[in-house]
Amino acid sequence: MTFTVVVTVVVGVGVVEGLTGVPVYGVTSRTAATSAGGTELSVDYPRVTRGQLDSPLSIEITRQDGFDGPVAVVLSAAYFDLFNVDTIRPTPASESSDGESWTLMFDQPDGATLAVDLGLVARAVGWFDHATGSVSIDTGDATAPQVTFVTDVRP
Amino acid sequence: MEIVARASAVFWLVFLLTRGLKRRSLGDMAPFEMVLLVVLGDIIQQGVMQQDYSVTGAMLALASFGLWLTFMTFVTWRSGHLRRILEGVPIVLVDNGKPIDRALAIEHMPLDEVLEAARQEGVDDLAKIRLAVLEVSGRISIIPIEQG
Repeated sequence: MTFTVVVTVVVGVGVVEGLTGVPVYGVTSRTAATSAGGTELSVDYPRVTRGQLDSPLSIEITRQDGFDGPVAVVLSAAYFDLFNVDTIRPTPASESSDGESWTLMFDQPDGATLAVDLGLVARAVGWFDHATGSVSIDTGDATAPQVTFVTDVRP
Repeated sequence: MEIVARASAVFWLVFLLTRGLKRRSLGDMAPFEMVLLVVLGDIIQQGVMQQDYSVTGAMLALASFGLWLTFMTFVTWRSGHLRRILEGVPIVLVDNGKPIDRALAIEHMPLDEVLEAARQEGVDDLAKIRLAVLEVSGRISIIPIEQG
């Protein structure tokens, strides 16, 4: 009886997650968005993932009036302690890191939107773990948009 | 949810495969059938888990199989009709020393295998078999004609 209850609950939660999107086992994605200073920033991030699974991170930056130069996307370096970065599209013109933040510099985009896709793979974890990340746009302006998010990694 | 769905699909595929195999294949495997048994695990693992090596994924897959097995056990316990559909029924192969050719043909069972099963029970002659029954497990039960 106990076995039946346990497997029913385990599978039932998985079914509920699939039907409703409630993040339990992963991979479940969420979107964090904000806007400031005429710039809209939207980040699709993995809310729950599992070790060694693809966990894509997508960043979309929109300026109604277009971009007047290269775009610097600043990410929190600590977030990537739990991920391997397989791909970055488009390829940044340059990268730099000061240990706390990782800056990707992209050429001036055509049009009003810059979309950046990071192909992340969660690292194998021996137990439940989580990472807090942030994405911001470095415009030298205090009102530059920034979003913060958390990803839970299941073993 | 994908793992639950894949595990469920593979469970039913394997069930249909084993259900569809002649019982002779289950009880006493030929070499080519042994190959299937050996590679079946790999095929199942790739189909269910794909590139997921996480403990959580394994837990989901195992729980899915466990749930279906529990369900099948319950259903076959509660319903004789469903039990006959899901597990099959015993088939009489020999009745009072006479082989039932139609049953042997349906199960692709050579009479030699029935005689082999009889010898294992200490019966050395077809005429001494009261009943030879092919059970749902693939084993052959031999009931000898009582002496005396």
